Amino acid sequence: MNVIQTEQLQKAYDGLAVLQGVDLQVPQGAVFAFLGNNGSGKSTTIRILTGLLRADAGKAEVLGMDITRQRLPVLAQIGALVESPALYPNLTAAECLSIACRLKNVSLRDIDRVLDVVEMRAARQRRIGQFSLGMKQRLAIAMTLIGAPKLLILDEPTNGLDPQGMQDIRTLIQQLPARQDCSVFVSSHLLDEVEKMASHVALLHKGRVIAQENLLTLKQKQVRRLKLVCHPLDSTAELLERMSLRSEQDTDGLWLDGLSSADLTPLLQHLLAHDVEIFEARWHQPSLEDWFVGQQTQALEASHAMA
Amino acid sequence: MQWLNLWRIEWLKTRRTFVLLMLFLCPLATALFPLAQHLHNGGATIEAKGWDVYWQNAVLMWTFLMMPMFCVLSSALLVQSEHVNQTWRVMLTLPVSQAQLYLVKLLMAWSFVVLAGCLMLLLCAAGVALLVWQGFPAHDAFAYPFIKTMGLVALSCFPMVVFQHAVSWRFTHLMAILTIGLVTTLGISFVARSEYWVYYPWGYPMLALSPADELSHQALLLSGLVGGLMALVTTWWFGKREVGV
Repeated sequence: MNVIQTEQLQKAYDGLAVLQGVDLQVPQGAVFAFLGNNGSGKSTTIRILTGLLRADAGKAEVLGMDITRQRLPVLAQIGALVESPALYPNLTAAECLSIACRLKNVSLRDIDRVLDVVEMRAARQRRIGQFSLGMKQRLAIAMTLIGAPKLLILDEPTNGLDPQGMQDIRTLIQQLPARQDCSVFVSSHLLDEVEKMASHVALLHKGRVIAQENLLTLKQKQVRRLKLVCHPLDSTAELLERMSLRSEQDTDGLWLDGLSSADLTPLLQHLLAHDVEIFEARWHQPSLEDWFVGQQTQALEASHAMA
Repeated sequence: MQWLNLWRIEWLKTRRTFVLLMLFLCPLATALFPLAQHLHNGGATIEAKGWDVYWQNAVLMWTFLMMPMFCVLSSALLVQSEHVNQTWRVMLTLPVSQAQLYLVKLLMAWSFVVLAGCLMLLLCAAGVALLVWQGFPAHDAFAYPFIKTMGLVALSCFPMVVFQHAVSWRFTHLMAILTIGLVTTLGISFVARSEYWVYYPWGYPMLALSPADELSHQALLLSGLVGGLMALVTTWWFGKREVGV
């Protein structure tokens, strides 16, 4: 079952199309990362999914319910953090969390539970105005956890945090599906962070989802490359070509695709036999960033070709 | 149940805020005005005209100046806390509709104005007690119709509260809200005593307190109609507006 399902979502502001047909399928139990550059439409999609905005066209279902028609029942069952943490500085952490408790008809005892999850029990009676950004962010996440929602929608939850804060939030998000039995839909442009916490990714580019994958499958699909730092580069490239191996040259070496570990030793022996000086041979596993850039480049090339 | 929860939440949000201080300061300033005036003239006016003049001075100042200004301030401060901290996003990602939030905040603003009016009369009563203790004549000191006055002011200020609440909801800049409030308050002195008062809801409280029953009833009826209509229209309008565009 999908906890979020959208079909051809479209939204324009003053005639400027921000979403141009967003199709998403977020499976239950996933930590689903929603990636895209600034201005790609991530926040707009999230605002539609939380009912803050209405789509001009298309359909959005959250937990099997139409968000436009059943906004309040949907919001009663999810927790959402839209952009930076917006909290009441005059209230204490406990008072602020009591707002979510009352509106979700949840016992006020849930406050201590969620404060334990984000490790902020000690700050229960402190005023939010005295909190650091990291503490506010954790409190905002705690607020989304009130009532043990089935789905969390988090918009850039690590924005503006220091490395320690980012790590804390990442660990928290990673653990949530197991601890809370919920799914997490998280938008970000910090690919390194996403790679460490997500189970699924979708890439939004200019208002369209151009790729959507299980991260494990994605990693299996990605071909690792061999970086060969050697001398001389030109004649080595020719030598490789004669062996039917295509290489790409960069400043200090050659990149080779389509090799297995077993191919490495014979290859190096062959090159040494032809007086190639080899300084380094290193396998490179493509990162999410490589995938992100690759997908965007493909999308740009496709749009240029169409133009 | 959700309405009650929202009402409690809105009260919770006012904790440790300036609006609570204003709820005390504005009535206090109003109550001090006749006290100082009559202490200054040594009770001569009260001896000549009775205690009604004391109460009327306070009520006139309240309906003419302080209540409209307090209405502007309290509405602005109640809504500003959401604008400044962008807490609309928090509230509207919880199971509550924009229309519900708008209406509950409107009722909060109205109850603040009513509460401030009650407090003003209580503080005036304390002032009268102080003067009686100081040797002013005690006869008919508390004969003024408090409850009727409070009721009339509370009902007739509703259109003013709705207008100012809508302005506070629409504009995020505090200065814009206060300027609009100041201009409409100043307008009371020009319009309320003219034949065009029916078109100017800020003058309704003064006219509702008029000794002429017909005028008072007319002002009350208009307050209900105009206030109710404005509340309906603005709730519909702000209920359908998108957030965060």
